[in-house]
Amino acid sequence: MSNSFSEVIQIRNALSMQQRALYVAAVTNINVRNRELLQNNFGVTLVKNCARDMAGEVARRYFDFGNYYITVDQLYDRFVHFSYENDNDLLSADEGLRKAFYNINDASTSRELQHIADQVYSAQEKLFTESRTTDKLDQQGKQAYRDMQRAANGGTLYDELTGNPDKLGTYMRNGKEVAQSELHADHIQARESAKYNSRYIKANQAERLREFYNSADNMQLMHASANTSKGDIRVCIVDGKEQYVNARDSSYDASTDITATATADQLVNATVHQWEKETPSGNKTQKLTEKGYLDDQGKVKESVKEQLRRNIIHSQNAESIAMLQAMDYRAVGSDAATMTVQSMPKILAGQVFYYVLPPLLYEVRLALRHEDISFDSLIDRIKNAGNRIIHYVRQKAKNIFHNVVFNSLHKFLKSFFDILIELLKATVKRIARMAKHVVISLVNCIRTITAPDMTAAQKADAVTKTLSVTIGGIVLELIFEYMEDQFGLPNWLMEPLQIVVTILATNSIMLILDKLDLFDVQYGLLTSNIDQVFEEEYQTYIHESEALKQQSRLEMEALMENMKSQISELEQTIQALDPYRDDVLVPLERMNRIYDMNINFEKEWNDFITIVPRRGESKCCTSF
Amino acid sequence: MSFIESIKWTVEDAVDRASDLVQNATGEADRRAYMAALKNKAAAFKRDVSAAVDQLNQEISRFNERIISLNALRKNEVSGKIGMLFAFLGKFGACKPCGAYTDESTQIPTEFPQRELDAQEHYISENDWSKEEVFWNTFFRSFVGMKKKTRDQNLRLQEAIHDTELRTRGTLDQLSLKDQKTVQDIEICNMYMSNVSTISAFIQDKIIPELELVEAFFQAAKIKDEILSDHTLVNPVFSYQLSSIIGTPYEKHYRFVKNTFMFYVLSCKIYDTPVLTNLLRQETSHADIAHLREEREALNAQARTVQAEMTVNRGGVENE
Repeated sequence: MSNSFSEVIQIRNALSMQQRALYVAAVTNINVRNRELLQNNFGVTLVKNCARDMAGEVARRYFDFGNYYITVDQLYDRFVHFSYENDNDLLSADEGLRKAFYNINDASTSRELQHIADQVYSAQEKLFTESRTTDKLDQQGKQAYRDMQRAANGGTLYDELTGNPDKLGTYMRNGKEVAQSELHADHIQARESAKYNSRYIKANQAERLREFYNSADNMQLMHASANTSKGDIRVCIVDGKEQYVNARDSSYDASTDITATATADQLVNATVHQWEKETPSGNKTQKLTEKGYLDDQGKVKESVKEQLRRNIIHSQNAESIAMLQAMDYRAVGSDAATMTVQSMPKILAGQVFYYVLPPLLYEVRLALRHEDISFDSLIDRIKNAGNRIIHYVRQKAKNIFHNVVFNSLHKFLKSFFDILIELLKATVKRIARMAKHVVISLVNCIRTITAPDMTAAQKADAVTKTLSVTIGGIVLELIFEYMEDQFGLPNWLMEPLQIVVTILATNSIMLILDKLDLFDVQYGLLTSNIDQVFEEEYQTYIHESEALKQQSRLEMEALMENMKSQISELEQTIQALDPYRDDVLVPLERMNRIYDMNINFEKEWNDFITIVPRRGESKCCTSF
Repeated sequence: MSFIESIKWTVEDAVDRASDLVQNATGEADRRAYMAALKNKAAAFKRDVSAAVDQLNQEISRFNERIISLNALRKNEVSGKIGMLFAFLGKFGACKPCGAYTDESTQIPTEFPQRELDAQEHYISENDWSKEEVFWNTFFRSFVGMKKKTRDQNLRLQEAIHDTELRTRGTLDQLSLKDQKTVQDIEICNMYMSNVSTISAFIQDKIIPELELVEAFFQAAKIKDEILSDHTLVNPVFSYQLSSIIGTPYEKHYRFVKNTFMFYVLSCKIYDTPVLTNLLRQETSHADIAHLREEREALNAQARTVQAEMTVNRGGVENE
């Protein structure tokens, strides 16, 4: 036991310093953990998300996983990191939004799109089956157009491609001089090559298309020689290369003809090809140069090309609109529904992978951790595991149902729009693509709003993100279209470029929105985390501080009791001393130690007796 | 209310409600709540710490009263005796005089940590946005900008609230420790006073009455020697050789003188050194703490083995 108050004091000091240390530790811990929470890992998160999305997208596009509605990286996450407590439902988080957005467009090589293209192609039929000469609509249309143009231009006709006015010639008919215009009213999209899709446009609606072909929207005035030298030129794909073949040539093969679905540029090139072609006989080149179609080098003028192109686009747009009006939407719908039903197995499989496999793997991992696997215990464990898994899946049934419904809806709309887009042309086609984006995004928004376990703020946040990302996506599509037009980049380069840029832009938009945090979702989480950190550290501090106080009180009490008993013992000893017989040094030395008085009794005594006072002197003392 | 006044009132009401809506969305309502909470915590700090400081100071003044009593004891009781002992002992050897009297020190009362409170109040006044401030800031920074500003402020206020709460708790803990310490100091002071009284009483009762007698003995011995050696007894000098009587049947007088000397030395120490003050003021370094911890572990282990052997429990050191 301690035999000095000095020790008591030291212990007391130590306890006080420990108390202080606890306080400092609490403050430090809180600060460190708060710094961690407040840290902004913007760059790191961006890179990580982009990398994962790239992997997921590559797998989805090139292995056609789109119909599972689950991506590879999501699956990996679930398999590796799943536990019943740590059930990270990625489908409802930001990740889910991004993946849903990427899944709006498939790769151009996907089986689905190929299937649609094939279906559309095989249903193409010739629009005009009777001969031109007996077609009343043809003649009426042309005449109506000429009249319209004349009326619009104060009586004269103008060559729409060169801008030159009509030069009227004369010819003799029945002995009379008849004025003859040298301009022809020409079908912009040729009558002979016109096709319609019999699968989606009923035969009785095809009349509308025939009316279109002979309407003002599909007519242009050009010089007679230009018209005739055009011939019946078709755009063909022979051995994978674009070729322009006259339908009346012997080398023409109808199965390679893609004129009905050719782009405006392809059609312009075909016409230009005809105009610039050397003719063995006739003065076509001279005539065309004279009339302003060809320049001095025999090449078609840029202004003519441009005007022709514009006319074709206008015509194609009008045709697309006419198609939309004539379309049998029930047929489109039923085809889209068929494709959806065909994908149902994959959609369901995706949900199974996502919700059933992870707990299964988890249970297996748990089971393997136990080393004593006897057969009986294994059966028991499997039964328990099975119960747990079933319980978990039942819990998630709402989510599974929700996902299956919306994935099917998503698939249906995607197929519907893909079919329409395949049928349409030019600008209308582009608009249809954007409409697809918007409609599917709206469906995704509705999906978010009806999702089973998200707060209102989270839903608002998700909807904002979806819409922002959609707008971003549309802008990107426009940019890419423009680039394709201007720079003529090949498809094998455009598609990967598109994927990369889309992923980058989507992730950036979402992270920026996260940072802005308009609905306080992140902020709410942050404040509650900060509160939690404080609660934990504070409670720890209080707990440890109380324990320390308790312990110190008990220790101190014991020490003091001990000292008290020592001192009372000491006092009794002193009181019982006989100065003649006893040696007081022992008790006094104890007192010396107890109070840390630092008296060296031995030394003092030695100093005292070694010097004997001299004779005749007695030491005087100072008076008090 | 006149028509114009009622219109003014309605407009103001509408403006208030509109600004409430905006401000709830920017987080202003939260900020106000946080600010109110912070002010509460600061008030609690002031209130609780003041109370604790007052209590501590009461203990300290009780301690100081004891010290005054102790000093009175030392000055009055001890000093008188020292003179007599000194006069006696001077005849036997080189007796050092006592040093000058030194007071045992009283403790200074603890001050309220005003600086901390000032810092808190300064922080609050700096950061308490007025209604006008909020309005103009929202106007100039736009909704999104104000949202960010308010959010940052809210996070800072949250930290300040936590900080204040923890600081309050820490300060209270420290003060209660000091309180415990002071109570202990009073106990130690009482024990010391009791010891000093015992010493003083012993000297009074057992030593001082014997002084003359012992001196007389030595005088007689001296005279005897002088006579036996045939010196004249004119003005004999009375200085005494202590060592001469060791081994004789009169050894007890030697012991008496030695014991008296010991008591003298002790009394001097009690008189001229502030023993208690030095004891209580000891500081501990970190090395000491580590060393102490080892010692305590060893002692506790010992106590436990002893405890285990005892059939009747006696007050030991509780561990854990």
